[in-house]
Amino acid sequence: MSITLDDIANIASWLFLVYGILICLGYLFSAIFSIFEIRDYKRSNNYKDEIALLQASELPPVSILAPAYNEGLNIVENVRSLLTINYPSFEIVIINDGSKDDTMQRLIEEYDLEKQDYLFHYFIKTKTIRGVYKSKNTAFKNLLVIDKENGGKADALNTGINVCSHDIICCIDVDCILEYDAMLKLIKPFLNDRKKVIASGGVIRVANSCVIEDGRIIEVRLPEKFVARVQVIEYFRAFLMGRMAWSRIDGLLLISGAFGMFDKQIAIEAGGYNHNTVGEDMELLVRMRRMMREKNIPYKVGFVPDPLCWTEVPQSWEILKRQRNRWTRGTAETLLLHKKMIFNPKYGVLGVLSTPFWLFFEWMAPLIEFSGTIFFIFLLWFGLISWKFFLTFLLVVYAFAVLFSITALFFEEYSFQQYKKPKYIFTLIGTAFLEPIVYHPFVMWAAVRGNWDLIIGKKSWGEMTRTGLSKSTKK
Amino acid sequence: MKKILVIEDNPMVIKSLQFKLTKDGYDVIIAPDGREAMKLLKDATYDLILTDLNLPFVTGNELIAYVKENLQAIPIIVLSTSTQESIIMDAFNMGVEDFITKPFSPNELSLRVKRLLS
Amino acid sequence: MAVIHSIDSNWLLGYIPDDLPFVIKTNILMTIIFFGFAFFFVSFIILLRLYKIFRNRKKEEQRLLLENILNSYLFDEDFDKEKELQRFKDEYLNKALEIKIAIKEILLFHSNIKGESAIQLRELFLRWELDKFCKKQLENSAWYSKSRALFSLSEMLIKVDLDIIKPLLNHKKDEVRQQAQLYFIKLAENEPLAFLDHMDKPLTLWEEIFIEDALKNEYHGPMPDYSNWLHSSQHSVVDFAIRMIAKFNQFENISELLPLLEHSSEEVRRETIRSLCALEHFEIIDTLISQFGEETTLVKKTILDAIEHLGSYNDLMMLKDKIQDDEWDLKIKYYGIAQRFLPEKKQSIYIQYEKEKALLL
Repeated sequence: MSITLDDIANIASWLFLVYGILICLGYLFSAIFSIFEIRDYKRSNNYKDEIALLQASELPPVSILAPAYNEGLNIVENVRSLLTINYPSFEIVIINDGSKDDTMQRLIEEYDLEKQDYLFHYFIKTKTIRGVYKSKNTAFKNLLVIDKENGGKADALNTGINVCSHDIICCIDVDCILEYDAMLKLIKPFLNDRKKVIASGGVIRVANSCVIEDGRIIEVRLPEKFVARVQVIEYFRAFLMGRMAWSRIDGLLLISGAFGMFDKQIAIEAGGYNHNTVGEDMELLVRMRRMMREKNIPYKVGFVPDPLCWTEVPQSWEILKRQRNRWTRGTAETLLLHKKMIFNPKYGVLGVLSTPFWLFFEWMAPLIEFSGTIFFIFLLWFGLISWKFFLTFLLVVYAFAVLFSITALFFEEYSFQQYKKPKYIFTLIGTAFLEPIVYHPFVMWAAVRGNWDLIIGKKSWGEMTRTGLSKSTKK
Repeated sequence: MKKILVIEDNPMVIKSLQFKLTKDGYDVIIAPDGREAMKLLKDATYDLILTDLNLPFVTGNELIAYVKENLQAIPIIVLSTSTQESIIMDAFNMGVEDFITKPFSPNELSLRVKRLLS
Repeated sequence: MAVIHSIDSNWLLGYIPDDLPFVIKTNILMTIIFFGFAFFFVSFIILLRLYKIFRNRKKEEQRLLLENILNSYLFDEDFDKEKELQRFKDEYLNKALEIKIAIKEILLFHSNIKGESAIQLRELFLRWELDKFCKKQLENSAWYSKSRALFSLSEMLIKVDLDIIKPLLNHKKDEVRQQAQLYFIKLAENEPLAFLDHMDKPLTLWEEIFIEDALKNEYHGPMPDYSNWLHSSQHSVVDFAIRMIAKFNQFENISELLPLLEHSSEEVRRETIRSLCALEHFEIIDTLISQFGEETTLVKKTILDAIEHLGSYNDLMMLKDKIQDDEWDLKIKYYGIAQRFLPEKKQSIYIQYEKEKALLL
């Protein structure tokens, strides 16, 4: 019995239908779980001056690890803002990952650093450490700078883990802007749960075009460039609908590399960051979770439904393309490394829900989309479907995309409402309508290319050109 | 009428201090942070400074150091949430005339202000 | 999130054209539904924004009124208390939102002010019958209103029927439990921690931070004897008691702590060592040195810290041979403490460490 084009098309259409329904269900469930999580968090009260109380109390000391590569332009300012973090006891560990510019010199000059004979051990194998520096000035006594051979972000973080002193580590992007009480909030899951907490993360916001002074956000503004603005909506979808829902069922697979806290001992036991993948932040958490599960130790991953950290997102299409390419490779690599978990009930929610979801909807989606589009164009070209059909089908897809974004905007409005000016909301709504047409095909293509690059063996991170966090002055 | 410069970022405390001290018969000027305070100090003279230590932009300690160096005649009362002995000692060592911890008694504060301005 | 392909199941190649309009109809229907919801959410966003603006404005108006009347009440001698306060109550304390803001503002004042003014604020709280409102909330409403009401009543030191508070200690929401704990501490004349024996879940470190703060700053009775809880069935309570003995310098309880050095739980042993250290009980050094070899890594680290705090370089040296070759985190700790004992020999101690590293690796 030969298979006709009819049959292929038939099967394909059923598969696409099922896929579409699953995505709709996914959207529904994430919306429902997230709204409950947000509602609960909003209802919780702020009592007396908790911040003063916590500042004075004995919270566990934290080592803040910030890798730096070619950050010469802003490193001094970034470190200064890190030094003023509001937390009773912490050390800042800057890891200079073999920068080719003057990052190290600037640090040495500004902070009066001198090389130390520092006691440390390579708990995790990393590239060689060239020197460990501390400041001669007691005002900077909790600053530690490590100079090492270039090895990538994962390697730099592992170096930080090896050398740092405390039991809780906070991995951060060196140019992130933290909320005033970010650390105090992020440590709470570690202290407030009756199970062991191995990691905690929060909500990340887009800092582009915001007014920043002295390392703090003074005024929240919507990014001026379209590319950055769309990412605001993406972040809303990812955090306010995605991670909130996942954390509610304890199925979180990713804590943002921009700002996250981990139990150092568990991280070392799990083997530290994997320097063979570009998605090292996700891969570490998955590995840590897997290890705890395989050892049968009850544990939890905390999530603080509060905006804690502001980060610069790519403002040029070129850099965005590289970032999405890298994210796709990272996701694929992580899933490949842990393919044993997918659909495996031994791993609980992670095995039954989280990893399959990431496989089919985060990783595969751009591929399915791409192949579907080609498929339909093929059918259209050969007159096997009508123009009318093709158009209505595009319309349905577009309508769903818009709905998803608008829902995310609604969630933001309901919860944090950080874009105060009414014109911002209208601009965002407009952006939501434009995104599926202008932005989405671009990132989809970047993701497809990412998969291709993975197959052909591309390994690099690509350079992120720092424009310096826009220091827009108040007008 | 004696002029008092109040440097404080807690809005409720600002209002109450302003109310009480105005009732007591003083002219009260407010600065919400250290930077504003420095500006005001350069432009005018005051008979008393009432300041917090935890201020944005320019810390209370920096401010006190500046006043003690350039405007010695002005007495300073510190009004702070800190009860740590070391911080209180540091403040007195810098030359402040009085140190009141929060929460504070408005009546007591009123008397201390009166004492320094008589 | 991906853009979906939703295709009607009836679509098939080469079927009679009659089917096609149906497919198109379904697609159009789904489009209308999606756009419909999208526009619904857009209007919801706009309405929500307007609502928030309106509500915030009302809140601010009420807050300003309260700020003025509270300042006048406290500091204006010409203020006619009887008349003005009654008038305010009649005019501005009728709706729930207004009352809530009044409570919030009074509590805000109360947290910044002490002395006679604070007493006056409490009198005002009662005069305006805000306590009645709180008590009603405590009995009837949702968890977040209950905990807020509990907080307000405890701050104002207003007693509530124990039968209402006791079950809240084991409420399923952490926030309510915490406020119940703090209520007991703030209002207790003695035995502020009696509630520890009635908890059904372990005490968390977070709760402990607040309990400790309340004991230090808000409880004015005699400090309880923490040794009472050293044999509680809850490990978290035992840990808590051990820590508090040190925090409140209960030297008389040192003898109660010593047996816990041999407790089965490593956390209890660790806390015991830490507390004895804080109480400067030098006598345990020899015991710790002899126990070191059989201990877990966690406790070994604590012992090293204890030696640094209470012992001498000679004491430290006795542990050198008891650290295994692969216990690098302990080695680093050891050498670090050695350097702090003998800062003039810092360099040579470092060289020693490097030599050992070279030998073993």
